[in-house]
Amino acid sequence: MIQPENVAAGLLARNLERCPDKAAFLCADDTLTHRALAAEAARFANLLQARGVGPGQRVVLVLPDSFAYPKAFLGAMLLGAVPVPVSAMLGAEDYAFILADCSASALVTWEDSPAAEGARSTPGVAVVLFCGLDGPWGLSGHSAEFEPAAHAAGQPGFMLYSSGSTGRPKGVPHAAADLLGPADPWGSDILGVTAEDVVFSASKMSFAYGLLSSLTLPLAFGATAVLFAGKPGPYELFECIARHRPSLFFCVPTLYNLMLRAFEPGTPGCDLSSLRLCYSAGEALPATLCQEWMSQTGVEILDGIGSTEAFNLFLSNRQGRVRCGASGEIVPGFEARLIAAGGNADSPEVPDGTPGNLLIRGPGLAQSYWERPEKTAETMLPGGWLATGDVYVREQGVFSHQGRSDDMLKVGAHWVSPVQVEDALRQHPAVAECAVAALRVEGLLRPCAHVVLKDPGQAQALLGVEILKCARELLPTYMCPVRVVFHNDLPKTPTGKIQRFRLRNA
Amino acid sequence: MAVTGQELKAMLEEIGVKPEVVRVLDPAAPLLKQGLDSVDFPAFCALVEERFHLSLDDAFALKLRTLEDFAAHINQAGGNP
Repeated sequence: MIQPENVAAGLLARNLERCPDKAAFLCADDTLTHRALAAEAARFANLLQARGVGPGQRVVLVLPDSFAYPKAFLGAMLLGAVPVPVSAMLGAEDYAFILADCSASALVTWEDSPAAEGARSTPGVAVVLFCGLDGPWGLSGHSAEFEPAAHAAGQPGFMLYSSGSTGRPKGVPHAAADLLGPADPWGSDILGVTAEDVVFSASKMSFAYGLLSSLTLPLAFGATAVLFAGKPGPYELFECIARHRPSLFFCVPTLYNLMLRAFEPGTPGCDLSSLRLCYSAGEALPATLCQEWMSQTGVEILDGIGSTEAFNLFLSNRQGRVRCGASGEIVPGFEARLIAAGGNADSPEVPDGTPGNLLIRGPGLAQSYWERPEKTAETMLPGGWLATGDVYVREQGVFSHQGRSDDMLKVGAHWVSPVQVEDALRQHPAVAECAVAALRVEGLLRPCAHVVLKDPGQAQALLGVEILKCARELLPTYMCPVRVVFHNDLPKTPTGKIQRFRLRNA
Repeated sequence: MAVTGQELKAMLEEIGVKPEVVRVLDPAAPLLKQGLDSVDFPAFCALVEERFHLSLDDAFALKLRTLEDFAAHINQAGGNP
């Protein structure tokens, strides 16, 4: 069965009809109207087709948040190809892995990016398109007319990558129609998005949270999205808000924390008067941070949780009744079950007030991981239930996050696999054994290195510094441990497996 | 004995902030404006708690912006290394 409409074509056509000359995207001093977006996406589809890319083929996007992003994403979708947004912060080796893993036919990135380097060592990536912030060179030479392809049923329409517990990312394919999922009811009823809104997400479009905030919401409602190409710190975020005056701001707790620390009320640089609502996801928002944000800025902040697998938010606070420290209530359309550890989809639910593993069910969930049958069987359970890996307590319909049922850490809204950090720590010659577990600082979880030294007599203070420095050279910033704790032994199971959960200091 | 700015600067180096950043650091100016990032700040808070046997209250910790803020808080709280 063929779906009746190409999702990208449907979104573009609707806005072309209702608001052609309105800004779809703002980036620095530039504006991309809905009309220009429709034309440029069609040109992109023509360009990909001219270079031999066809329906069903994967087109990996490694780009800063810029006009090139929606043009490339929607252009690939018009063609019936599968856009695969990937973080722009990875190394060449990671890109080589992802390009090979999804058998990418094309890569869209900037010149001399590590992704381009990764593509050189990956056979099969036949097309590499280099882009500036506005799109690839030569785009204007292609026709702005394109006959959109129908999406083949059962085939992915787009795919995101999510970090795996072994440190290797896994592909999360979604049907094309899943792109629209977050618009209703989360966007419409919970956020109350209208065409008048200007949305700004600090989370990048390569993440589900960034893609649904910066692409789904503006296009579904004929609204406008602000794109910020760089890696934003608190001062850059304030500046961007003061400049573009968004009404909805999507960010993550780590950055809300830094923003509060930089906030100077009443100064022009910290003008938040345009904001009607802030949203937080990616990691649990600490109660204190939630309260402080609202009392200092006067802007309501809603915490929620979603996932790459859901491409949506499935638990969310509601305007007018924020519960600080809780992820909120179930988003209509989703069902939630909390089951005891070791249970399955048929197990009875734990009573209110008792921690349980969260399973969710609802529209738009990924049906499998990309070519990972074992991981799929662990996560996508019979009956359409998805194991989130998150432990929650429910009280009167309100869900409060208690941690993870596995060893994964959510740090600054990024998944961190302890395995990957431990591999880096072991590069230090003094480290005999190590384990990485969460340490709570200011209510937020951070990686902490637990180390057994080869020579326990060595000066620990000095070694701690060296080990942290060594990790910083090898790992992306968010993965770096914030502290080293030395041990004589690490807690282990009778079979010798390190019990990381015993080291958690939450 | 009161903690000094020099001691706190040495602690910044301990958590891996580059010596050239620490050397020119203005103790009265926000640390976030002087090159500290989203890892440095929690790492520094964790080390302050450990070194001075303090527990930084989440809401209060958000108000610690400069090295002088940290020094004043540690001294007021009677933190002892």
